[in-house]
Amino acid sequence: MADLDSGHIFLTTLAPIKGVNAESGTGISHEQRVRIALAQLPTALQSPATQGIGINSPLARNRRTHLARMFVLSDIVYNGRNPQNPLVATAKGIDPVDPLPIDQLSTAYLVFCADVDAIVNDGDPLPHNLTKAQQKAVRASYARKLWDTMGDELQDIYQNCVGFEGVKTADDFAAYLDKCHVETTMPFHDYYLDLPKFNELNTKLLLGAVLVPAAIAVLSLLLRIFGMLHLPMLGFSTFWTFVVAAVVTVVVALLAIAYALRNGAKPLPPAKHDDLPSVLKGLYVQQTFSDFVIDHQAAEPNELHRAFGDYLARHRPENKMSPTQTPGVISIRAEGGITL
Amino acid sequence: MNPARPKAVNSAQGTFMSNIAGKAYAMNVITPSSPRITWTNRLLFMAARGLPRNLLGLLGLSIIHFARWVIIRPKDWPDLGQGKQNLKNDYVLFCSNFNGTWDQYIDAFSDGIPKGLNLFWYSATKYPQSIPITDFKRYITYNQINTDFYYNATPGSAQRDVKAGLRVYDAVLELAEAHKTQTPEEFAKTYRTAMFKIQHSLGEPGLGPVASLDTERADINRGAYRSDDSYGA
Repeated sequence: MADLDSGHIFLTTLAPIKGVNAESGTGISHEQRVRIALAQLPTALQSPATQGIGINSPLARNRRTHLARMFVLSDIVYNGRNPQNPLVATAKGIDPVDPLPIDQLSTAYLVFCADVDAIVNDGDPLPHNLTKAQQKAVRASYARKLWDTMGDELQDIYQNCVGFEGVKTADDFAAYLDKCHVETTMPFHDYYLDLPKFNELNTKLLLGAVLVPAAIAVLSLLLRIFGMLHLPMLGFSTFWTFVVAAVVTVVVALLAIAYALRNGAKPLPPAKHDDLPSVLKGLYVQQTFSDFVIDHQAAEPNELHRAFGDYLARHRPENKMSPTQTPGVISIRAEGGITL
Repeated sequence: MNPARPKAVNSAQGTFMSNIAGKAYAMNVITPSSPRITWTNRLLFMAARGLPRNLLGLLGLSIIHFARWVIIRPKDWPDLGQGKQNLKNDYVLFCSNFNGTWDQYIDAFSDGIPKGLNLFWYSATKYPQSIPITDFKRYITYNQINTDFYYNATPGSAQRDVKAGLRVYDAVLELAEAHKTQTPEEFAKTYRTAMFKIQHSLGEPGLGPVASLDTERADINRGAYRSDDSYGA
């Protein structure tokens, strides 16, 4: 399960949107209604215009979401006809004038992707690893959190999606989002102050395990072709040595691929301060401590020691939950930028 | 719900969409891949995670907060009663949160890790390779899906800004421990040593530059809903 990496859940969900013939009562397609609902959803206070609006995103009501996006996938992309060798096409009797089949989705999808702390209680440390069931529990916990903090907005958006009719509670939404879940294959994240310990793959060993029997198979085959019925000194049949070595090569190659896949799916550890509360606190400390440094550039040791004690008492760096920078604001200087 | 809002909205009013939230850009790219060879891409992804030298290029770009590749096979498209998808191809969804403009990102990818890109899109149908860049940019353009809604919890901070903040945070936590036991003279020395390490990480977040008219208009257009009291609870 590569949803989990660096202590975060890389949540990917695809919710099918109701078709154009479904009853909406507005004359506007459900796909368009999703787009309108998303256009109405406040973003973070991220620019002079949105600061002027003064309404922070409903996603800022939780402290688990680093980044999130929603978009309508009307259809998958077609990049044009695939070229092919004209000799092969002629031999197969393929007329290039005839159109080839083109993939089309039968319904549009609402894609919701979020980069989320893999925790079930706010402020918990990020986990190094989770079982499949624990990951499901984290996803459900996040979905419930969303419903509890922005249920109205989710209702506005998802009421246009197939199968959402019975969703009335946080648990219902968690179950619904789970049905829409698609596993992330390859996650990537980098807030590392020091590089993590990677799950290194020993490619030389794996290649050796495959190439040694492969070399024996090739050698046995060549000897057989040149008329040697038995291996020199060993006396084994070259034919059966080739067969056994070839089978071993294939089996070991498959095992090596399976091992590489399983090794790659292992999550990397979280960075030292990688959860959103720590990131927000880090930005808060960066800003407040920059002021402290400027104000105490030439301070004597006694004054520095006393002033730093005051700084600790006021800003409490050991408490990552407060005081801190509010989610979804530019800085602590912004209106509402500090959460006490 | 919010019945008062639609008075300000219709599809012809203008561009609501923006791929940008503060200093971050949300890219969504979906590329077809033949089911016969998609497994090689899965193997390449997993092998890269086990071979750090292949990830170091990506890490070294230092402009990506979070990114993901999602292989969606025909059977993976959720069916909540509307019926299964009848597709001949697998699709790879790539979502990235990066800093800078679209052009800067593609340029950084193509110039910085061209081999890595070609490996990560190894099975993508008609993928033109990352060099030369013109065809590569055209391919991304054709396969990119715009974001309808984008949220960033730290919009004033690029990825490097976040890491700078965490470096300062880490140093201050260490100073707090030293402050408990050290004399003022000892602490002043520890403080100077810490400052030597983190002086380049001080500063504060700020507004990102407006990267496009679409971005500015999208943010302004959302102001039409300001009179709606049901938001901002």
